[in-house]
Amino acid sequence: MVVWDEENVVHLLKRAGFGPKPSDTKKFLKRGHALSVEILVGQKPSKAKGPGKAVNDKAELRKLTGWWAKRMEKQNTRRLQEKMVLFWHDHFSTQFSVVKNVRRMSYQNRTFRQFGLGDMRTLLWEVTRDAAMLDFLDGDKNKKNSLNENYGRELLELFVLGVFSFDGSEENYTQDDVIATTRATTGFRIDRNKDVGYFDPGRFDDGAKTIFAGKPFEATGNLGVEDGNGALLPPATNILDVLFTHTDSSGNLTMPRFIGKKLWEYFAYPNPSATLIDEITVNFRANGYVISDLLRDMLLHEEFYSAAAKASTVKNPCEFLFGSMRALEAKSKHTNTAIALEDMGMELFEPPSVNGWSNGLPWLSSGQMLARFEVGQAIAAGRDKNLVLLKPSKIIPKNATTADEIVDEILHRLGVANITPAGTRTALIDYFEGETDFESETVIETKVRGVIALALQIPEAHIH
Amino acid sequence: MNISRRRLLQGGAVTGATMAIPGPLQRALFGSRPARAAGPTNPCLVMVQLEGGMDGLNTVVPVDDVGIHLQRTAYENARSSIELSLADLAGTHIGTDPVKGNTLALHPALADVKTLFDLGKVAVIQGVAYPNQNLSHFRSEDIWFSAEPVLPFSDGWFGRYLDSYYSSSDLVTVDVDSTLSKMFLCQLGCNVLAMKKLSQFELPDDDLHPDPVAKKTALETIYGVEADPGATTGLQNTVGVSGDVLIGKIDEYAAISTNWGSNLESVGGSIAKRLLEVSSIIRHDAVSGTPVGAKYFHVRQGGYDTHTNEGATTGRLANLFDDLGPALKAFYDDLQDVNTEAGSNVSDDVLVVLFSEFGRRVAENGGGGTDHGSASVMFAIGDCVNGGIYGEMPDIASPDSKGNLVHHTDFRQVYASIIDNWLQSPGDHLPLLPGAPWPTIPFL
Repeated sequence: MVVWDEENVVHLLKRAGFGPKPSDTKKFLKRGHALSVEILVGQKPSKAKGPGKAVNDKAELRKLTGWWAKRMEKQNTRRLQEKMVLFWHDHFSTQFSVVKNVRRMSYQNRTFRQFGLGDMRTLLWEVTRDAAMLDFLDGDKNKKNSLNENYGRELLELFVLGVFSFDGSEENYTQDDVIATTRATTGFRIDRNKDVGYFDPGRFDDGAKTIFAGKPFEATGNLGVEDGNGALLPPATNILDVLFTHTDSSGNLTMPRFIGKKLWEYFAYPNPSATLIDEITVNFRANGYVISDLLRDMLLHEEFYSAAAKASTVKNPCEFLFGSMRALEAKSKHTNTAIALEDMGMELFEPPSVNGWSNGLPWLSSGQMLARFEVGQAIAAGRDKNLVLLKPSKIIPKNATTADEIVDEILHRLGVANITPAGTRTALIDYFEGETDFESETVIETKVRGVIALALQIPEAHIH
Repeated sequence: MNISRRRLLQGGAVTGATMAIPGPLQRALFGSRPARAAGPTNPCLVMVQLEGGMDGLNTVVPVDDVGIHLQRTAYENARSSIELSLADLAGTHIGTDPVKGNTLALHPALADVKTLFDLGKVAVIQGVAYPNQNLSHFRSEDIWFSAEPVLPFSDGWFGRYLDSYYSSSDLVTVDVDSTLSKMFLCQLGCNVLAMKKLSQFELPDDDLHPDPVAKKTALETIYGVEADPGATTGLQNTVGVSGDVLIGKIDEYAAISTNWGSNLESVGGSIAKRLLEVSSIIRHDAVSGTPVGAKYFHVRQGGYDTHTNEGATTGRLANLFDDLGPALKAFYDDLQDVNTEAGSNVSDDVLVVLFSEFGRRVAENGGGGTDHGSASVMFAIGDCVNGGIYGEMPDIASPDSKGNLVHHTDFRQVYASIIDNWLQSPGDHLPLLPGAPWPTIPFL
């Protein structure tokens, strides 16, 4: 049984979204644990799509980034849905610098919004025929008698199975399996007028293939994904479903453990036990691999609220920026957000490789830590409507008379009051008090902004 | 340097003598060369990662058949649209394969590397890979970063080096990248700066803080607290410690100029920009009275995953080499200029090593490119290098069952050579590299 207190509410909202506004915390506290989680995971698919011209133009891409940033920062009921769009963008990592077409990126972004909480099979199919992905991993060049292994390999390695079994003792597939997967995913093309993918049976390698030869889950057939009319082929011989049948030598299904672990590490902490992952994937495995089932079981699990799960991972730049804005009730048109995120190492639509971003401590490399100091300062300055507008008068308690009250309010809003060391709090108070002229409102406001800037530079503001 | 830890790791049983005698096979492969008279006084290492899997077979290319070694014929049979013709290669011959005898040439876009080769400053090490090649980029990178081809990644080979010879308060390593390479990950909390540009190296300046000194004092106080294990633990403390080190170093690094007339300024591409950061730090430490003490560097050039449009004299690989070759030459020239400016042979202390996670398939694929492969070629560059061609080119006509070149030199031999013959002394690689002892290669 999870105690439904403020600490756990804040923890949930930081992880399963982009952090709470003060009013969110109160609302979710009242709702109780089960209802809170249900509101987050139970969202219907959204077809919302950002601006996307069919051009290779960074300025146009930044419009798309700004549109998405606004959703991440503002969404209340759909906050987990947007978080999952970010997760899938990281998982099915695709680079604009290769795709060179903003419309294709915006379509892919919509795909994650529309299918990101649904079943794995559909999501994977949509990704397999996604124009940006076909372009990025050369799926459109992979055809009968002229194979290109790029997508087939990443499908096994990064998207569905992983190189090793959960405990690292077995390799999940061989080069022969890569080739079988590559042959099975031949035939997809891009309609260059519409910027959408489609299946061309004439390019499909229809020959018999065997994958996972000699294993209990060996499959033979043409293993194709679609028929010629845009419909999925039956599970028994569809390569996507065949991959889901893969197990380790003890019979544990590989995909649920792979995706379950990745979600747990993204939302909770690194290196979870197999037992834990098996627990949070019970319903996922039983009912057709629906992602919201997995998320629900994860967010309801007691371990998600354990001490080990708190202050256990570094916020990614979106979590830091949007979380700080929400906590401080700041506003933005988000036209400059793309640049701030880039500075902090998270250029949306341009992950560093097909393996996505390195989450966790790598976010706080020296250069990126300094970039975060800079962004923290910009949030506190709060004078750029395209990045952040912030009014300290909204934040300072009306009847505050001491530096302690102001510092405590800021730390409380940021959700770090309970973990900030006493010495850090004292340093912030001393900074505020190191001033003589408290008669001037301008001086006080500047000082409050200065304290906010420093509070956004303490370690606690960057972890959760 | 942490002497006591170094002694501890070496133990009593292991001595340099174990490594002194190369076997007959090693002699056949690598010949024997005189050892350097004296080691470097302040060895610097610049690891250049060519990310994505560089096509070694279009980097060093056979131009003839010799006796039973029909390397050129096999090359031409395997490749069509990406084949480099004899005419393409006419200006970049570098000599003959030490074992097979075939004449070899560099990709024509590497003409600048050929210039350095002719000066005796480049070692070309052929046929390098690891056993049971995994064709995944990320698994393969993990193996190169960790020097551990069997177990899942746990730490970096250079991280182990840092753990053995330095303490966590030493800051001797800079990764010119937005995040830290896994080659530097270590167990004992070594600190490595990771930053794309020295110009990033400053605390934000803003009129929010009319008194910037008060702000910096507050920040120093805060990170002093956060780094104190009595005040914080776990991740909070880890972030606190790295922030504390960073804030302590800011003024030193901010003082480094990148605007000093580097040869790299006129070279295009990101790799030149990143090498400029390295040469600026090396220059700063050589000519200023306040060295920052950084000696080990990692830079990265991405884009070598040429599944499509790899091209021959033009195309993706040529474009990458058009950036890489001039950047390596300009970096070398920078060091010569620093020699003059500093009045000492700084360049003798700088070793550049190029590596990639794997080579590519022998046969061209359907998209005018190549899929992931195995054995490839490495380069070592610098005034400290015994220039020449090492090892033999794998037999192109007899790839493994997957169509990939069969390696004969384990990449850990190169690492062992760097540790034993450059950074430390013979035998010192033993506790650092899985599978040791490794025979060294006399390119240093």
